[in-house]
Amino acid sequence: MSEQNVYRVLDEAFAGVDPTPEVQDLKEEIRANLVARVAELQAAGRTPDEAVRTAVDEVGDLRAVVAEIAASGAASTTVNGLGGTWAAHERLVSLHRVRPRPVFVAAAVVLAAMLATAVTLVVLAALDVVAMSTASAVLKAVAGALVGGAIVTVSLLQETTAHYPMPLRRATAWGAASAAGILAIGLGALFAGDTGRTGLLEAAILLAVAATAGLVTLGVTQTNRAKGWVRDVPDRSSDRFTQDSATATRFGLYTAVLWLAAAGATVVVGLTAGWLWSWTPPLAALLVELVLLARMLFPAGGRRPE
Amino acid sequence: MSSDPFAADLLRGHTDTIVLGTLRHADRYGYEIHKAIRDRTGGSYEIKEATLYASFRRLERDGLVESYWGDESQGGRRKYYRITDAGRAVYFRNVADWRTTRQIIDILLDHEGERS
Repeated sequence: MSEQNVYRVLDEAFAGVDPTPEVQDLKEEIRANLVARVAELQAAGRTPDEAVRTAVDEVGDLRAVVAEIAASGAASTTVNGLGGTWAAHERLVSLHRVRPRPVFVAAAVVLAAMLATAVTLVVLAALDVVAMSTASAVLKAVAGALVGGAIVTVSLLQETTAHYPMPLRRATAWGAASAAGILAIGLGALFAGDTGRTGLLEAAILLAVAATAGLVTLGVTQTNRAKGWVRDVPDRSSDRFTQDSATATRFGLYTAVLWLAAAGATVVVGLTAGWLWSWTPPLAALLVELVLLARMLFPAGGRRPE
Repeated sequence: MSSDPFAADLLRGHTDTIVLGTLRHADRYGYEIHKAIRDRTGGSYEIKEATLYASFRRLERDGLVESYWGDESQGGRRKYYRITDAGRAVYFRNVADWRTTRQIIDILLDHEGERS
């Protein structure tokens, strides 16, 4: 059986390699590709054994790739070591930059304008500034809710620099839950404008419960959407002091020295120039401290933190 | 073409871009990509599949492609690759870079006056 021969060849190629998830993933991928090639060769009239031999020859030397994949775990951590610096992070972001689609931006602007219009009209109706029948006001609230839900849905469908797009069904569910929430608020506002319309309150409460249930369900079942490069750089959002404890320690020592000096200077100024001027050293120290903080926490652009 | 070690070296430097190019219009699995490259050149150039596997992983690590397992039952599951928007951007940039480079090299090599 050619299938078994493919397995045997692969087992030989992967012999003695630590079966990490990456390595097993590679093996499974190669196996499926080999099977496809073998089937093609057999369809072209080769015998099963010949087909396997040809397919395997065509793949080339797998040992180098296998070794590379097996070692890539170690290699990627060295790359991530650079991830701690700000410059490296900027470089990563620009490397993975995904620009928003023009169509999406235009649609979001139009939808946002529609939402703002609907909200304004509903608020005016609730405040009785604009005379409007209940049905018409509710209709505007519904329209606003639908537009709000649409904004949520199309936004979640977009790929961003740090996140993969959300699947359509899930994005729609988020949009629907948001729409229910917006409608609940809208109907609640209309009820507040005229407390006689108790039907509005009941509908608002029902919608609010449904929206909360939906949002909570979606929230707790949400899986990771962050891209690999974001997940690989754990320190990227933390500040420099968290990343680099030596800098943080130096900052602490400088601060201690600065304020001890300021305290001493205050006494000296007080005794010589008069206590009226004794506030000047602490003020100077405060200014120096702020500059120090700015320089050490946010190092100047081009210079790489050590 | 591939028999010449220098030409093969030059091409190897563009493996990632070539792979991205094959994914522009459809998601493909490894052997399909291999075949697409081979067929495109009429068989005169073929990237060893072993090289492709390394390329896929590089591209995926850099977020230029993403992979997913298909759900075929016959012949086992296949790992498909899909180009990301970032991958598309990198592809177009690399193509533009290559055009510029080729122009310059053409000019420089001709400039020696050794037209044969």
